[in-house]
Amino acid sequence: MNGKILFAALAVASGAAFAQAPTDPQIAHIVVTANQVDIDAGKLAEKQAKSPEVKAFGKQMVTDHGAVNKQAVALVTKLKVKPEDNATSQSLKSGGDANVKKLKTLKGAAFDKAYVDQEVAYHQAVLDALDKVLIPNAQNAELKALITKVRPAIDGHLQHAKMMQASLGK
Amino acid sequence: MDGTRYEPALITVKKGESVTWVNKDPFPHTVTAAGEFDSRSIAADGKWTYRATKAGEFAYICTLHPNMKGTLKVE
Repeated sequence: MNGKILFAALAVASGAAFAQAPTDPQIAHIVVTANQVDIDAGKLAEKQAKSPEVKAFGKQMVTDHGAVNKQAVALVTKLKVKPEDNATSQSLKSGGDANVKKLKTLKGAAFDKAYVDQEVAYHQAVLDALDKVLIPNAQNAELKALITKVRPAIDGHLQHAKMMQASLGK
Repeated sequence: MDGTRYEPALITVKKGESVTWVNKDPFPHTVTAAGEFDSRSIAADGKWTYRATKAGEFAYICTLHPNMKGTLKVE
């Protein structure tokens, strides 16, 4: 259910619900929030997952998304862009919090399955948002370059999560 | 490795030569050809060298980002 909340949040980001195209300060805020949401879930998986593979994936998410956020923050600082909170960021954050809250109630294989299913849905939604909203609307060339360069990593996480989803299903 | 891609994706070397992969991304990658060679995790700004002692064409991936694909051709 929480997967659907997050999915809805990003569907907002990638769909018509953005009455106006997001500005660079809003895009920067969405990028940082989207990374943070996955870091929070990854930290929980590092501690709570049963399978060593799922634990390692959680740790990787903390590392990878943490590194991307460091780059994003360095860039917006350099560009003197002040990330601006917005409805998409807020729904991402509340969806992420709801997901973590739900995951905390799960243990063992049930946790692993719920976390991995969520990671598949989340990375797919982030890819869609990147392609349909964030990359096309980014005005600053360096901001656009950064999020374009990050895209294959998100796709990599999606492929990795899908492989785990398939092996957990066996 | 840069932007979650191997650049170039195809490397050709002669048997006995060494290849070094440099990770220019801010997060780890691997260079893994199942059953042939495996760098394990190469940290950001890290590198890994493999001496090609066996001829053939080896497809490899990053186990962390399996959409990253490369080929090492050893002549």
